[in-house]
Amino acid sequence: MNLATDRKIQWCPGCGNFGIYNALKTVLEKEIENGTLKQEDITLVSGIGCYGYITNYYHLNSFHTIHGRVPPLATGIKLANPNLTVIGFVGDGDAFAEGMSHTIHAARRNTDIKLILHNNAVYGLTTGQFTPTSPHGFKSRSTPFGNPENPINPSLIMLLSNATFVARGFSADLKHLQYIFSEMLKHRGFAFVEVLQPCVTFNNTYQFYKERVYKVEDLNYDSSNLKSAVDLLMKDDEKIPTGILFRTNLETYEEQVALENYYLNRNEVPDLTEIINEFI
Amino acid sequence: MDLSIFIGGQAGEGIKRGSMLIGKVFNRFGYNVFILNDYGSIIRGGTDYSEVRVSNEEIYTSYNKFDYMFAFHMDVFEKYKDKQKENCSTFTDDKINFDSIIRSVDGQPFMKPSIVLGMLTYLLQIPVDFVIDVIKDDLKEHAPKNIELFMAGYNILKDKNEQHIHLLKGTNTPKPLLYGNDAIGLGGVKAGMKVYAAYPITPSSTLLEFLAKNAKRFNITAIQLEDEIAAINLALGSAYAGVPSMVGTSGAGIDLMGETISLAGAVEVPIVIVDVERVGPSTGAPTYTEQSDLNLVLNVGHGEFPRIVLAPGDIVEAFEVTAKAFQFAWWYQTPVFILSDKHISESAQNVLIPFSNNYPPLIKTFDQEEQHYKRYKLNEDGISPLAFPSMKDIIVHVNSSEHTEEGYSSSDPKNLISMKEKRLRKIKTIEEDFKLMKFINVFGKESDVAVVSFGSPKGAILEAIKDLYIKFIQVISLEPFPKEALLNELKDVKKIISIEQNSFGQFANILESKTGKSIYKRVLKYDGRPFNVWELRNIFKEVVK
Repeated sequence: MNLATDRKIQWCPGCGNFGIYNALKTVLEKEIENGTLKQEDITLVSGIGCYGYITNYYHLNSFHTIHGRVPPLATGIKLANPNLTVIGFVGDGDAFAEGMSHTIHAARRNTDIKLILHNNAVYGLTTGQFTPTSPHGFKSRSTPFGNPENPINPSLIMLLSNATFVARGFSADLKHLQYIFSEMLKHRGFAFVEVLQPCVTFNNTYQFYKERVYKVEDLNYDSSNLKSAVDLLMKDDEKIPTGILFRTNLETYEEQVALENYYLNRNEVPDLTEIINEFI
Repeated sequence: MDLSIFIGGQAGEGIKRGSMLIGKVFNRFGYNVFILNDYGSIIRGGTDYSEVRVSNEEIYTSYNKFDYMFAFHMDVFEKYKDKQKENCSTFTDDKINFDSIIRSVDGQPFMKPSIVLGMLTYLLQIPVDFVIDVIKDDLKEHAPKNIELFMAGYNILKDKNEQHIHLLKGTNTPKPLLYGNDAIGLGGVKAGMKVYAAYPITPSSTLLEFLAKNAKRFNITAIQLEDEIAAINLALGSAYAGVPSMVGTSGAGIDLMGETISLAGAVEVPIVIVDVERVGPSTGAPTYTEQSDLNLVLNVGHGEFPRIVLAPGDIVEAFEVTAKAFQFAWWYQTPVFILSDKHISESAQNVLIPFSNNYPPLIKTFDQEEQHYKRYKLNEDGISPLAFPSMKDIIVHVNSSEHTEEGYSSSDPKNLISMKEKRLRKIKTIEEDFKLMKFINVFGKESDVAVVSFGSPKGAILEAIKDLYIKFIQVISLEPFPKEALLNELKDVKKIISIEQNSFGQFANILESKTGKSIYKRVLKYDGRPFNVWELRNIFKEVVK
């Protein structure tokens, strides 16, 4: 099983997108080989950014859409066909600047979609402006004297938006990313995975993250407790926790709004006679 | 017999619900009914009224002059009293103490229209038992209190020995009495719509409410999203996955949907978009009617892509146009707009809607014999075979970026040209197909004077041209524009009168530029109120003279 397409990958050598692409590819190939997922039932959605080209490189159904709108589009796909495993790729600008509200609303609805955040804290495709996750003081092309804004913490926002699965990985730790992605696929409901990644051209953070990331799995950490997850992400220290930060189970949005089996009778048109009589 | 009843009060006094009940009574009593709802954009304190027009003739709009006026407050009456016909009977709260009647049965202010129904039943001598049956049917468990109020209204006028007439039962078979938005919803359902997504905005919200209320019976999902942008993206996602989807909004919402309309054009995923126009620009007057989004829907979305814009002229057409919109969206794989307005969408009429017509989904499907599925396969008509995720051995890549036939991103110059030209061929295909379909309606008498219009003015125009030597050409498809059909109809016409509800003359400008004909008289109205039959009639008489 090889999910790669014949497209030439157009990211800079050393780009963090490779780690995400390869880790997910390995996991999906394994799932397909094991028969736990069918190739035709996987659908990918990506927004705008360097990472957005990722859908070109997987031999899977895909919708490369516009900036910020991945969550509602993915929700629509899942709503229409619950058999599909819908994985959305989003960028830090994509999902937390222009598409911020969609991301929050998808989380609080517990839409059964998976979102993978490529967080490199810089707009790479538009050549190096600051994003909502860039640190204060970050010198970018649009903030030559330093970023005047404070960064947001995407995973924390997702926790506070009632996301039922929140995890964080580092693009240079492939094994750990593969573990997180497999757990993400097992989750029924809204799953959010923030992947810390360097942009080798505009914000090379390899060393920065290597020195700071640690795995909650190595500690005695209870991922079922929302409060401890929030506390962990609010902690004011140099260390950056990765791993599965929180997970719980709730009824999904699709289960609540999509009526039983309606999608199986796509072409069936209900008889309007009875309802029409009520108008007389 | 053609009478108009005014029921005016404050918001919260059940005017809209009550006018529907009164309309139902006349519908079942064998008459044609048209209901106009005039209301302000506030929950309390404004003055609202409904006009229930009843006739044994064919009627198509409100009349805006009244035979009976019921007003729960003097200020409402004062505001509209100049619209009385000669011999108009008026019942205002100085004459009838509506509040004390409500108190006497421990009722609620929103039940006041039931008193009016009682008074009307006396004034027109409609059989009491007949009306009570309608109330029971319509209000179900809420009927008893309303029947008490109905009887109170009836007895007050009876005791006063108020002057009355004897209205005979009409000869029509009762027909469904529904709002334009109901008809749009039913049209979608009839055409196989499964997902409706929206964000509340007047005057489209009642469409969401109607579909949400009946979702189970219609076997659909009708949902409210965080904004219009989310609504159209969700609907587009569902369509990509194979499910016919629609969004509804008003002009301000179309502005927000613009980027996704362009996306739909690029990715060639079907989507039906309802624009229920209201007064603009910006927030304008949200509960009043206008036709000023024509240029918007013809142009919204950046770049160049095929689109179809259809404007129903009445409630029957609202049903049919919506059903067809789905067929076109899915056959041509491109955005289709339904351009309605407040006057169609929030007015009610008893109409014979062709519910038995079928609108089967038309889709150019993929030939399984081919080796690889190409979402954007180049061909002569510009319409590539459609396939969906979950189909075995098929991978569907759709891409907002300019793409190859397989759907992979590519900005290679040759590729840019071939995909642009594919979409141009699709535009050409739509234009040629539309020439074969009937997208204009022609009414009236052969004449060298012709009225041209689109959308909701249809009703007032139809009534205004009666007995006059005037031809009326109604345009339903604004894109593609039925140039040839119009030129054919206009060939012996010397004077063209255009009618539209905006200040730019958007439709007149398009007609002139597309046909090369010049318009003799442009009738533009932009006070938020629909055209009056009698005002239009005076204008027409002036021109034919």
